[in-house]
Amino acid sequence: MILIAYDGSADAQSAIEHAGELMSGESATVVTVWEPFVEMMTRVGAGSGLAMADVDFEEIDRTSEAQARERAANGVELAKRAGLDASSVVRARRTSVADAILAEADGIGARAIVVGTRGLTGIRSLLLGSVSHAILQHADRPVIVVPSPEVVHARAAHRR
Amino acid sequence: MFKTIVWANDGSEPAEKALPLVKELAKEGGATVTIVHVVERVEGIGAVGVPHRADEAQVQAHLKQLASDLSGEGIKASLEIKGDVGTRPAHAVVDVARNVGADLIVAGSRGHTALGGLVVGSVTNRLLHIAPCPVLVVPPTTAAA
Repeated sequence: MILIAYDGSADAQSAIEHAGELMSGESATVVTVWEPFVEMMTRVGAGSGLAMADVDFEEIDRTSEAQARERAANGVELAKRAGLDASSVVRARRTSVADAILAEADGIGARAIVVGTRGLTGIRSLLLGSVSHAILQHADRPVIVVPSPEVVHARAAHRR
Repeated sequence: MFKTIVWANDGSEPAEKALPLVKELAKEGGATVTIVHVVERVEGIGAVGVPHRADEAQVQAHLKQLASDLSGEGIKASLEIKGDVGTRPAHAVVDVARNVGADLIVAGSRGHTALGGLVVGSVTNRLLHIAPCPVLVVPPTTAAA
């Protein structure tokens, strides 16, 4: 069983396709992490000017979670098409997105965690995303960092 | 599964931690394994070109043995020693990966910090940013397999 971290970005989509091609037949859990509203507010230091009493936290969280479910389902579709025996799981962000992913990896006893390079395009696609980086720093199991074809192409163009 | 694996191995303990996984992946996919060792040399004036490490000869002998042990287990394994790359070992590994058409590069991380996290070494970190294929980073201790 491998765990694939999936945020729905084009880069993450490519990572799934590439992983499927290379690890065809492997069983995989696609994990998508969503962020509870209260945590998001804490993280961005908000509250500023927002009439918090009018905000329905639960409604927002339901929507966020539903959107994460939809993304995860798309990820599973991609993974299946790429040859993986895939199912999805959706988790709320913990202290960080990386922590939620690592906890899931522990939970399923993943053989490896598959992450993309990052969700951005252009020159910044050459860099490693903060979530992937945090996973690498804290994982106690193998981590496979999969560059998308676009990233590989950009790297070939920018080499040295 | 993976067909062409490049294993960046400097003979250090973190690199060696990958051995069971490399064997497992190689057997699963019938992959060829190219062990890449980069000899980092002193640059600048005086003692130029001398390997950084005093035990360089032992490391190379050990890696040759490792390649032949893998072959002994039925894995198509070879060793490439890159000696003329100055201070850019990650680029030397990537060059080999491109040449052999690697579909995976395996690299070690660099041991645990006091807080229990991994420290990804500079060569592995560089590899993650320039590799033309997926990079598998092996932790020093594995929770589960």
